[in-house]
Order: sequence, then C-alpha cells, then structure tokens
Amino acid sequence: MSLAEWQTELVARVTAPGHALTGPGLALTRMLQRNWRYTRLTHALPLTMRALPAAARDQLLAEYCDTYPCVSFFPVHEARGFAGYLAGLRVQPPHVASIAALEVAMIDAFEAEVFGDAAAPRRGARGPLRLARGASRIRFSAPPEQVLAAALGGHELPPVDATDHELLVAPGIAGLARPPTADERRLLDACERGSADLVEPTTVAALLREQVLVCTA
Amino acid sequence: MRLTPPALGVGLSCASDEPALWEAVMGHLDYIEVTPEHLCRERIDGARRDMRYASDALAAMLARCAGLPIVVHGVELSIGSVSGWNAAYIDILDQLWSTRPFAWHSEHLGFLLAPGDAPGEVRYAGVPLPLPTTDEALDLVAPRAAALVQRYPVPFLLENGVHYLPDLPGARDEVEFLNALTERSGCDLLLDLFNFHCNAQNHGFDALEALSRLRLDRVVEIHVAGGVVHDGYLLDAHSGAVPPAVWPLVDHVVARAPRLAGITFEILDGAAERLGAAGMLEQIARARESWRLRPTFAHEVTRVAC
Repeated sequence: MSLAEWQTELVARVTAPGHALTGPGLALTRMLQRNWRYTRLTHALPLTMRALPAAARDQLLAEYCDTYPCVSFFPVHEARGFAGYLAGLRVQPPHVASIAALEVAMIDAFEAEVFGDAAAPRRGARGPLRLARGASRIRFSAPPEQVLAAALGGHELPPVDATDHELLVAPGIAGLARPPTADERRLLDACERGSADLVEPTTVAALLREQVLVCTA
Repeated sequence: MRLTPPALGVGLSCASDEPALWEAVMGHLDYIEVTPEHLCRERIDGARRDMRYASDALAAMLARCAGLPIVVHGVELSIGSVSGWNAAYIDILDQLWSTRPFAWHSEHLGFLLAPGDAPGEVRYAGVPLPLPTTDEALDLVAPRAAALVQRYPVPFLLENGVHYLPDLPGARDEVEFLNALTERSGCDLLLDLFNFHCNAQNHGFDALEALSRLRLDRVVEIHVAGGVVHDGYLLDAHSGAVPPAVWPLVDHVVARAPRLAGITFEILDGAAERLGAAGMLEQIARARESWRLRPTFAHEVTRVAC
C-alpha cells in the first residue's frame, strides 16, 4: 500500500462511521477526533450548546458528526456545519437553529473585519444592493432578547409565537447585532428579491454605513 | 550550517487569556511559546485555505511577550501529507517573522490532510495522525523539513507525536525514524517527553533505552505536559501537572543534549486555570530544576558549522 493509500484509508477509518474499526487504538483515535469536534462546537456555539435539550444533545451531535466531515481546526467551520445541520432538521428543537445561526453570524461579522471585507461606502454610489459579506438576517420565532437571555441563563426557552422576529448582524453595527426597523426590513426584502423599487435613501445610507448592505455596481 | 539557538531556559505554552495567571507566572519564565493559529481566523475556498491574524489577538500576544523571547509551535502545517502541506500556515509564519522574529519554530511530525477518494479531493482528519516509519514517508517529509530549515535564520524543529495505533508500517522504530529524518533534512528535534512517555506506556517499550539511541545533539527544545488515562491508554491531553515518571526522562536528556535551548511546559487554557497560579509555578520551578542540570558546555548565541 502506498503512503497516499495508507493516509486515505486511515483518515477514512478515523472519520467515517461506516468504516470498520480494527482494535482499541483506532477506536480511541476516533473518539478523540469526536471530542475535538465537540470541543470546537462548545467553543464556537456556547449558547446553542446550552439551549439544546439535554436529552437530545448527544444524539444530535453524534448524528451531525456521522453525517458532516470535519474540515478544519478552526471552530467556525464546525459551527457553520452544525448550524446548517440544525436548520435542516425536519423536527427542530424550538429556537435552537436561530441561536446557532446568530452565533455563526456574529463570528462571520467579526471575521469580515479580519479578512478586510468591509469597504467604506462610496459617496453617491448607485446600483444593485445586496447583503454585505459578514452581514446576516436571523429570524426568530420569539423575541430574540428573551430567547438569548433564557439560553444564557440556562432557563426554559420562551414559547414560539406567531410574530416574525429578526436580528440584523453586520460588522459595522455597534455590538454587531440589532433588530431592523420596519423600513429596513422592507428594503432588505426588496434587495433579496433583486428589486430596487422600495429604495429609500436614508435607510440605504444607514445600512451601507453599518456594512449590512453593499453596492454591487 | 547548523544553527544553535540561544539557551533560553524555561518557557510556557498556554493559550489562556486570564491576566491574573499570566501576571503570576511571567516573572518566572524565560520565553513564551506561541501557536500562530490561535491568533488567526481561517477561510476555506475549495481546496484553498487562507489564514489571517485577528489584529486584537496578535496585539495581545505581542504585548504579553514584550519583554521575553518567543518561540513558535505550529499545529496546522500537516508536513506529512501526501496531498501537500498547508501553505496558509507558511503565510502566517512569514507574517509573524516579519512582525516579531522568533528564536526557533517547530511543527508536529504527522499529518492532518489526506487524499480523498475523488481526484483532487483532500480530507481533514480532525486529529493529528502519525506517519509510518517507511522510506516513502522519509522521502516526503525530509525535503519539506529541509526547506523550512532554510526559510528563516533560526532552527526548525519537528516534534515527536503521540499516537494510539499499534503496528505502524515501516521497519524502523520511532527513534530510528527521527534520527534518519534529522540527518536527511538538517532539522532539529522538539522532544516531547510526555508524548514519548505515553508511547512507551501505550506501546510497551523502555523509554530510557529508546532515548539512549536518539540523537540528543539534535534536541533543541523539550516539551512536558500532563495527561489522563482512558481505557488503559495514557492520553496526551495537556490537562495538568506533569506526571512524576516524566521528570527523570527530562533530567536524562537535559544532561546529555548539548544544544538544548528550552524546556516548555504545555497546558490547555482551561486546565491552566484549574491548576491555578500556584500549581503552574510548581511545574515551572520543577522544569527549572531540570534546566539547571544542563552541562556547562552549553552554547551562547552562535552559528556553528556542521
């Protein structure tokens, strides 16, 4: 067996649940790999981990690790993968996918600055608008402040209500997140549809300044 | 030319941001070991990885280390990958060198990235994996290590890893492989004596006998750490105090390694906070006891010809 074949085989055995384990040393190595993945998730998604129902947590984490490969040492990738996994669950624990999406969005907003994505809005710029890199709209099915306070305190999460709640996350927002105004929501919806007919200059200027939106022209 | 680094003394490798902890230990340290990836963020675009320093994390590290030398210990190079090493790590190492030169730099002897099933696909292992001790592995790693030896005017060290896999392919044992690698590449050794102790315990060899065969003239740095026992295996967990059985190995090597430049205590951030300042100082003091066994022939900052 060549070195390339040996490395491919060993990584498959350590990472993929379908591969047979031969011996306790390999099982231990796989367990350590899983533990590192859990540690990265706990580091990157602390509120999500607290909010997950204890009875379901281990099973969800195991199923996620069985389904999604580990791609990096850096926790953000694991966080993004797990947030996507939670969002795709047919039966979701209430609010948890929103909390995970918010935590990932906060990391993305921070990293937009690290990677120099943020560009100062050009004066008089005209053209199609879209969400800037590092900006996100996070929907909640209860008031976000109540959901987050409960998760932080380890309390029961609030009941789901019929109202559509939202937080905006972007590198230029003080504290990185805030609720959008009604005008901003209409504008952001219009941008997502690719329509500029609702563009209102004051609202656009504020969202460009906060790096929520970017002018693509 | 083989580079002999300055004899620094006792250092610490710890990612804790706890100011009180650092305040308590700083006056007892001769250097700090930095892992650049801990100061970075990463983006992945297909097969391409891009790492950048988070300016606040880099500034905090530079401020903390203002009065002390730094040495670098990377984790993400994946020097033993057939699919190629992680070039993003080299980029951040270059940037760090131009910002704050280091006394030496090191990486783990092993691999994290491996070829996938599809052409061009690369898989990430998620945990450091060992290399077999074959000629093919030696042929792969030696030129890469040699390139890193040439890259900066300071030594490059490879660290012996811990692993739990019996019967790795290859006719050599770990010591024979390390000796061959340093000889072929010109790199030096970061001898992790806790890893060495773990492998001796888990795979049933005599650590002192094995050390007696290792080229100790290539050892520039020693790592010590603590671990835990799980399912009968001793695990490298950086989770606390160094086990008593490791210190005699340290004393043995210190007395016989003419180019030794530092003994580094490694501990994870959470474990450091649990061990507390008093516990950390105890470990640092014990490392200094070993450091004092260093023979009087130890070098000052010089370059010596091979």
